[in-house]
Amino acid sequence: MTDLRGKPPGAPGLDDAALVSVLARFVGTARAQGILLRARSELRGRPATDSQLIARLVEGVRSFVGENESRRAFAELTRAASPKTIEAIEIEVKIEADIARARLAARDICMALGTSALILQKLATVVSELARNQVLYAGGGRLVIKPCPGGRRCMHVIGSDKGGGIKNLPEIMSGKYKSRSGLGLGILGTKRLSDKFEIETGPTGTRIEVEVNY
Amino acid sequence: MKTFENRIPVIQLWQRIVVPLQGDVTDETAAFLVDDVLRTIRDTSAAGLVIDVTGMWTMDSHLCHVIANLAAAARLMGTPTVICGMSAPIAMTLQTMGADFRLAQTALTLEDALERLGVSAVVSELEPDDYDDATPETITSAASFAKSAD
Repeated sequence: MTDLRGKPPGAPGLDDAALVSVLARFVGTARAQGILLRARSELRGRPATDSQLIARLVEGVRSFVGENESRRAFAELTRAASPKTIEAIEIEVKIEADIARARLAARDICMALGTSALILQKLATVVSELARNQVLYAGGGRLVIKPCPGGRRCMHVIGSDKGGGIKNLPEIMSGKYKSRSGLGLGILGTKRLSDKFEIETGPTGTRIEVEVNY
Repeated sequence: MKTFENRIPVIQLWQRIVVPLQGDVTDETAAFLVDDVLRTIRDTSAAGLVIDVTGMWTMDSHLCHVIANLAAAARLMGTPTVICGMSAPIAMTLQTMGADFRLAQTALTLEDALERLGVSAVVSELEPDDYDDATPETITSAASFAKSAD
């Protein structure tokens, strides 16, 4: 079992002892070690961000303590891991399953930031809409989720693809458009959810930049 | 692939159908769901359909569209649909986006949804004896869970 304690390649560089000491305050040392061991083994062999590890630890804590306590555990773990918890996340979006992967990554980043549930929901939805458009209409693309520069309390999402562009953008933005696969709200909905929205589209591809304040 | 993991339970309950959506519902899972639910409605002549989204962590416009379409198709078959259990953040997000849910009825809780579909419950007080019977088992299973989690 000892090999599970070893940090896998590409895994978070968080100090296990520090994490256990935080967890131990909520569930005791023995359980804290168990939770960490399990989280590490679940993430083993996969590249994971600090926030993914913390999310798993909090899930582990939640099975022993109530919701409020596990939220406090989350805040303290995030503090223990800062300031490098929030990293830019890049997601290659090619197939349908990547849409779910992208929105789960957005959730992780929001949980790591400790945003409200509403902001989490907004960002996850924005990411999901952008990713879906890339899969359905552009044959795939790339998403980057990162903190806004300059220490502002906001998240920056960039979606770019090399598809054929959006030909009926004015119609979509006017709200009159109804797509065959959805409500026609992918782009318009994203704009409504975001605090800043920029779009460039042409025959060589589309780039959408979104900011969501928290 | 139609595998066990991406199937959502379709529960039959007093001639109604309850579909509890949970976690992250992918587009693929949602597509199977529509198929499963409509087939169950036909096979059981269900008098109503409840889609419970309590366990969903997020809903985007595509999933809304799938659910709205499912409700519309069920309506064509003569079965009314009630959606229940939407969390405040999801409701606010869909509202901001401008998603239109007027096609289906909504209710706050599963209980309200079933009532809306004509199911009324008679709840009798739990006798102290029943409660005592239930207790040791509950404790045992909680303890074994704690053990396995360690």
